[in-house]
Amino acid sequence: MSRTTSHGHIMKPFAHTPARLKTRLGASASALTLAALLSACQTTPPVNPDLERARASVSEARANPYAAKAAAVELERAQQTLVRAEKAWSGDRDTDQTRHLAYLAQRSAEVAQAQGAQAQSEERLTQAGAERERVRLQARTLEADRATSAARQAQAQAQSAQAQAQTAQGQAAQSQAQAEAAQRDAAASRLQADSARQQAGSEAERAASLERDLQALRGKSTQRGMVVTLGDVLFATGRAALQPGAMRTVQQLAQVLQQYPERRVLIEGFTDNTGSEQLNMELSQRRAEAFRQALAGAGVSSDRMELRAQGPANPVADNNTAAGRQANRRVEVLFSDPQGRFAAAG
Amino acid sequence: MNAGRTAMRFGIPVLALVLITGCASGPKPDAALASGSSSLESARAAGAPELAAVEIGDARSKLEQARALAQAGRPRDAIRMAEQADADAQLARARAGSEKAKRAVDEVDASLRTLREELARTPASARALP
Repeated sequence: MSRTTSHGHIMKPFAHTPARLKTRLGASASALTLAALLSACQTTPPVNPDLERARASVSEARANPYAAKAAAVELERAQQTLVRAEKAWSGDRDTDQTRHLAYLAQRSAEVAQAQGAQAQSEERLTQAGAERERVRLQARTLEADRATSAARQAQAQAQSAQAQAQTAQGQAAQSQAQAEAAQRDAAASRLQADSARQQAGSEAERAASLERDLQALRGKSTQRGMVVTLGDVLFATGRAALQPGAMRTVQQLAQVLQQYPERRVLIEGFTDNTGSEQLNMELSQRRAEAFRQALAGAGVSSDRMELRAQGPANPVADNNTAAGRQANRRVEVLFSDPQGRFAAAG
Repeated sequence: MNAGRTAMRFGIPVLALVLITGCASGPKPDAALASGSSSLESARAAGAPELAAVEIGDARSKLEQARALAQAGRPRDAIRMAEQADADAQLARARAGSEKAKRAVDEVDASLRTLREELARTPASARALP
């Protein structure tokens, strides 16, 4: 049974073992002393270092909560093998068998530790897997958020682009409307211009026509406008009544005035410089009045006629000769412009 | 010379046979050897040659020694050696398992770290966007 073995396995010492060994050695020494005192003849088994190492390993494995949970069977086996080793030592003092069983117990304890470590790693693996899923979910959420925000941004840009397009469209429509309005204005202006031109044309035509009509009455175009001068011959000397022969001239003038209803006439009476100023003024007044009544009788409205007594003013000929004085005794009929206005007296 | 070698060749088996026969009543190492061999195979299948090389090396050499001891007609020593080989193989298998799990944890931790770093970078770039 106690044959020596040719092989010798080396057990790796544990870092903490010497301290424990010392404690246990101390305890064993105390127990030995106590045992020696109680019964001097009973022998106590001496300390076996292989056994001590195995005990330390087994108790260390049992203290590991992961080994206790995941390697209960292996721990039990280690414990049983350790008990066998202790019996081999305390009962038989069989060094080789004790060393062998201690080795097996220690290996069992180490197996239990490894199984505990595996269980711990597996637990960590499960946690890490769950954590990885959480982080991945976080990443996906972030990605989704980013996609959402990008989509929102794109939408906002699209809306802004649409708004800009609408604004541009509105501006274009406005521009078109303005262009159309301008075109209409231009057309209207053209029409107005045309009409003005036509009107101007017709006014100029009518003015020319009036000039032609008055030529028969020896009318003259002056700075003040068209003037028809009716000589002294139409009146008896010193009198204001028209001679019967004057009626023809009156008729002609009335006809012209009927053709040009927009025109008015200023009837001015003139005298020579003989006689008193007052007499001459009255005479020129009465002659102009006589002429007006004659025109009114020929159908010209009194509204269109104005009177003015000029007396000996503005002589047209020399008052020192009889012919000159006769020329100065006269009535002038001044035609207004088409708007019924008279040019300022010259 | 020739006669001596012949004597050696026949003499050792005969001596072994005599020894085994003489110990026929004692324990046989077969079961222990088979158990050790089986544990060694199981450790190898668990990846121990890569993950627990020292332990499986111990088991292998001890199993060989056990076989040699059995052949040398030392069954008790063979049994002890086979039992230790068995214990070493079981430890090799257990350490292969724990090492494998540890490496998986390292891998997951590394990927988790990478993922967290990416996540830490992403919000910055996402913030830079608008």
